[in-house]
Amino acid sequence: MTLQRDSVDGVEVFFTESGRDVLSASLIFRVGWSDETLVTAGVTHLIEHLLLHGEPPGALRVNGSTASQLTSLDVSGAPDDVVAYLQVVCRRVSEFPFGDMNHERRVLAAERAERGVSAMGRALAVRFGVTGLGLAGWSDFAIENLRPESVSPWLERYFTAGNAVLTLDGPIPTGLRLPLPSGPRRPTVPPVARPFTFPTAHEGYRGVVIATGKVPDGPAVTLAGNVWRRRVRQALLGRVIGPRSQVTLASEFAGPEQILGIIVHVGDKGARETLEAIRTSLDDLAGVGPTDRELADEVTRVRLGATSADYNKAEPWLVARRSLAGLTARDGEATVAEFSAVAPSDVAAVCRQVQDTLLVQVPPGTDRSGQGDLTWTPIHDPAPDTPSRTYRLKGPSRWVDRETPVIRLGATTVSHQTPAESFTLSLPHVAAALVRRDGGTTLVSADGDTLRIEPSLWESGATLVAQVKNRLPESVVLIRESISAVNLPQPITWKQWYARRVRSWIRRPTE
Amino acid sequence: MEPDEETGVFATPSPDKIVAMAAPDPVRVDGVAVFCGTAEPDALQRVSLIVRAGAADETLPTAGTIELLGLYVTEIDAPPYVSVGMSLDHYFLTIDVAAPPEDLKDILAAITARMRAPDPEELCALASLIADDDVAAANPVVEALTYRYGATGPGLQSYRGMGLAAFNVATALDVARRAFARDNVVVVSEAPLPSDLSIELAAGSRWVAADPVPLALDFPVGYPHSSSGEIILSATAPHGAASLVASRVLTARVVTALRHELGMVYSPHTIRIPFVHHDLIGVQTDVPDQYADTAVKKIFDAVQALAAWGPNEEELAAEVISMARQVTSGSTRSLPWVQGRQFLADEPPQTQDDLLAELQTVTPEQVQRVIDAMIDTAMLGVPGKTKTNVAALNWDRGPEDPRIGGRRYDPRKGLYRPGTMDVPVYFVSLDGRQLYRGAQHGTTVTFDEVAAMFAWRDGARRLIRPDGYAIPVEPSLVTRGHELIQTIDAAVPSERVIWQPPREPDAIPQSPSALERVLLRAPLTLAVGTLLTSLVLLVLALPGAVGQGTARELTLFIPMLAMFALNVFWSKSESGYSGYHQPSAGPSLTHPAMRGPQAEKEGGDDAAA
Repeated sequence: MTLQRDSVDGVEVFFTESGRDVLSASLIFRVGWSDETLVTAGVTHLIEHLLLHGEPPGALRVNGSTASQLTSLDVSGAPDDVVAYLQVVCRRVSEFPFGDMNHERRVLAAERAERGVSAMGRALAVRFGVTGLGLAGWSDFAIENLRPESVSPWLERYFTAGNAVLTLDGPIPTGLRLPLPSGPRRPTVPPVARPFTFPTAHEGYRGVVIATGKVPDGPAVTLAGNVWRRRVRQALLGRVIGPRSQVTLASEFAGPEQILGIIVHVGDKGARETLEAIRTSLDDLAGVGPTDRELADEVTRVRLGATSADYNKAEPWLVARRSLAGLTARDGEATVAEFSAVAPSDVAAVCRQVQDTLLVQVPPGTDRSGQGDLTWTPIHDPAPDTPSRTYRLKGPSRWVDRETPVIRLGATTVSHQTPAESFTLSLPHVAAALVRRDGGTTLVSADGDTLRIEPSLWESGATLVAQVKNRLPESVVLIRESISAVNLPQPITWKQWYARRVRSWIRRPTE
Repeated sequence: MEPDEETGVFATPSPDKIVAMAAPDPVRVDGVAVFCGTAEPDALQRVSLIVRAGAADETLPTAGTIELLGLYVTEIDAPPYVSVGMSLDHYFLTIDVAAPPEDLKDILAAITARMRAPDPEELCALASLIADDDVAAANPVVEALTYRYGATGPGLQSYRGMGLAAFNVATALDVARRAFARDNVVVVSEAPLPSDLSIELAAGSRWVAADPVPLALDFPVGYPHSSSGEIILSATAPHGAASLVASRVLTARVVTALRHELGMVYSPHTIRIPFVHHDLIGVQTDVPDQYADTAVKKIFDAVQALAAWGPNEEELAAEVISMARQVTSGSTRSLPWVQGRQFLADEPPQTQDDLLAELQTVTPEQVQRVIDAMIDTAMLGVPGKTKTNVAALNWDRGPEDPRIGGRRYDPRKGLYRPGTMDVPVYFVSLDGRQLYRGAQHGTTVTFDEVAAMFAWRDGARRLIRPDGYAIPVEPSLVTRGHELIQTIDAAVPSERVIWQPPREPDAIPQSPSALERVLLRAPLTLAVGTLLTSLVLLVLALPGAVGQGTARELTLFIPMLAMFALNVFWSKSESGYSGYHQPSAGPSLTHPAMRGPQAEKEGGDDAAA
C-alpha cells in the first residue's frame, strides 16, 4: 500500500498498511534539544517523559525519544488501545502533570548516567558551542533547575496540533482523536557555527577520531558520505583497525543543511594514520569524485533499501520527519529517482563543501606532522581586562612553585593563568553558571568552554565566587545543591607536595 | 520440499500449510539442512548460515578461535549493497547475509568456499589484528556468567579473544574442519531460495550441545561486580515459555516499583540466555549507586511476592499477548532462525502454532513455580562500591582458602604502609604443586589444575582457576619475583600458557627505587638521621658548654631539635604521603581473584589498586 496523507483534529497524519493486527503510532512534534538554550537544556526531554508518565495500560508498548529537532511519542498495540492512549497523551498537554516533575527528573538522571554523550555529540558541541546542535554535548544540563514556569511556555509553543505529525503503519482507526491545543508549525532554526578558520582540528577524546563537515541536504550527501566511509575503512583495515571495528557515518540535520561526519574508534597509536586516511579519501573524492562503479553500487544500495519491506513500514516516519524539519518530503520511488540522477561531480562538490568546513577531533597527543594546513586548538579567548584582584591557590604551591595558577578577576572577564597558559572567559557572554550552595561554581561560555572555581582551593575563595556571581546576569545562574564535605576538593598539603616533587624528580611512572 | 520446475525456486507453502506442519523437516541442499520462511521475496533477502559452534564450546587457551573463523568467512568480496556479518553466542555462530535474491547463490558459494578451505596465512593475519582489538568493557551479564560457570562454557565470555594472543593456526584449522561440517550447519532464509543453490561443505558430525555445569556455589549468592550503576539478578530455570514469561512478569514488577513508583531507574530489562535444557533468566537494571540498596530490596520483594502468590491474571495476560504479538508479527520472517537453531540443538523445530500454544498454556502456577525455583539458583550482582546486603543471600565476599605453608615471597620493601593488613604474600607449597596469594586467607591455585595462565614478556603472570578465580603475579612487586616466576613457569603445563601482547611501559607496575624509598619515607629516615647528628653535635659541643661558646653550640642544637620535632610531626600526620601501594580493599578487591575482562587485561588488582 502506498503512503497516504490525511489529518485528524488539525494534526497531519501519514499512514501506510503493514498488514499486521498491531498498530504502531508515532506522534511527532517539531521540537528537540537543539531548540533549547543551555539554561533550559532538558526541557523537551522532561516534557516527553511527563507526557508518557506512568504505566501504559495492558499490553501496550510505549516509548519516547527526543532528538535534535523532533520529539516522538511512540505507542503500539491493539488499535483501540492505541486510540485511547493517544487521546490521554494529547490531553496531558493541556492538563500537564507538573506534580510528577521531581519523579521524572530522577528517572532522567538515571537515564543520563546510562547514556553519556555520543562521539557525534561531542563534535557538534565543538562546532556550535552551547547553542543549537551544539547542545548535543550538554544534554539535560539544566534539568534540575526547570520549574513549571519555564516548562509551560515550552509546552504552549511547541506541543500543538499544527506543530505535530502522526504516523501510523495501518489505516486511521475509527474514533481517533488528537485533542491538542492549536498552534502553528515551528520552523527549524539553522545553528550558527563558532568562527573557525577551516579546516580546523583540535584534541578531543582518547580513542576516537571524528571528522565533520557542513553540507546542504540532498541525495549526493548520502552517496558522498557512504563512499567516503567505505574508502576510509578500506584504507585503515588491517593497518589500524580490525574487522570488528566500525567506521561510522553519522549525520545530523541542521535546518536545510546537514552535518556529515566520519567516526573511527582507534587506539591512540593509530590516530595519525586515521586522520591521514580520512583527509586523503576526502581530497580524492573532492578532486575527481567517486568511480562509476562506486556510485552505481551506492545507488543500488539506495534502490534496494527503498523498495524493501522494511522501508515500506518506515516510510511514513521518514516522510513525516522530513516534512516537519522543513525538508522536501519524498516517497521511495522519488528517492530512487533523485539518487539515480546524482553524477560523480555532484559527489565531488559535496566533498569540497566538507573540506571547506572540515573540523576534526583527534585524541590528545596525536602526531600532527603532515597536517600543516589544519588550524589547531581554535580557542577564541577574549583579551583579559585590567584585573581588579588576583587570587592565589591555597597550600604550598603558591610559595614554592613558579607555575602556580592564579585567577585574575576583572570587571568583565575572569582569567585562569599560569606562566605557560592563560584562559579567559568573558563574563557577559557566559551562557550558564552552575553555582552550588557551597560556592563551587562552573562557568560555561557560549563556545562551550568551562571554568570551574572551587572556593576551598583558593585564598579568599568565598569572596572570589561571590564577586564572579555578582558580575553575571541572574538569568544564567543555575543553583545546585552542595556536594558532601568529603567530596569537596582540598588544597594539597606540604606532604603531598613533597611526594609529588620527589616523584617528578625521579621521573618514574606512577603505578 | 522440491523446487518448482518452472520458476526454479522452492515452492512457497501457504501460511496454512506451515501452521499445519507439526515438525517441519528441512530441505537438504548438498546434504545441508535448509529452513525457508514463507515471506514474499524482498529486495534484500535475509539468509543466514548457522553453525553449531559457539563461545561455550571453547577452552581458555583457544578462546576467540570461533569468532575469528566467523570473521574470516565473512571477509568475502561483495558489492557494498550486500551486507555480510556475523554474530556469536554461546552455542551458535551465525553468518548473516542480506542480498538481492539473484546474488545469493554467488554470495553463499563464496562464504562456503572460505568455510571449506581457510587460508592459514589470512587466518594468522586476522588473529593478529583481532588480538590487538579492544576487548569489550566489563558487562554485568558476562560477569554473572563467569561467577556462575567459572572459566568454562558460558563463563569464557569474560576472556573473550584472550586465546588469540597465542594463536595456533593448526588448532584453528582443526576447529574449522569440525565446525564447518555439513551436519553441523544449517541455512535459514526468510523467503524461498534459488533452486540452483550450492552449499558445499565437508562431511562431519554434529557438535553435541550440553547444558553448562554451574560451580558448586551456596545459592542464593550475592556478589560484587565491577559495573557501577547496574544490578543484575540471574537464575536458571527449565527451558520453555513459562520461564520467559516469568522473567518478563518479574521485570514488569521491577519496572513498576523502581521506575513508576519510585522514579529511581530508567530501563530495567529482562535477561534470557537459552541453553539446552535450561535457560539463564533474570532482570537487569540501571540504578544510581545511592539507590542500589533500595533497588535490591525492591527486586527481592518482587521475587518473593511472585513466589508466594504468583502473577495476577491481568499481568500474565499482558505479557502473553505482548509475546504472542511478537511471534505472529515477526515469525513469517524469523521462524526459520528459531527452527534452524532447534534443529542443530537436536530439538524438534517448532511451528508458529507450537510457539503460540506454548505461550498460551502458561499458567500463573507455572510462573509461580519458576520464580520459586529461581531463588534456589539466584545470583545477585551489585556494584562493588555499594553496601547492599540481603540476609537471604550468601555473599561471595572476602577470602576463602586458609594460608598454606611453603616457600614465602613477600612484597618488595616500601610498597605498603607499615602495619598494613592484608598485604599480599605468595607461598609456593613445599611439594611445588600449589601457589597461594593472600595474607591470612586468600586464593590457592593448583598448578596442574589451572584453566590457563596468561603470560606477559615482562614477567607478569595471571593464573586462572577453573572457577574463574585468578592469581596475578607481578614479579617487580615481589621479593625474588623472578625466582617465583621461574617456579610457576616450570610447574604450569605449557599448553595452558597463553602469551599476551607486550604491555605499555606505563602499565607495568614497579616497586619504588631505594632512593625514592628514602626520600618518600623521609619522616623516619630524616628523623633518625637528625637525632644522631644532633647527639654527635651535642657531644662535640659539651666541652664548649662547660667553657666558652655555650650559646653558640646551643644555637646549633636547637634547630636540630626543631628538625627532629618536625619530622616526627611529619611521620605522625595522617595527610600527605601517598607513596605506598594500597592493598586491595572492598569486596571486589580483597579477593585477589577479581574476575572480569578489564581486570584480566590490566594484569591484576595490584595494578588496579
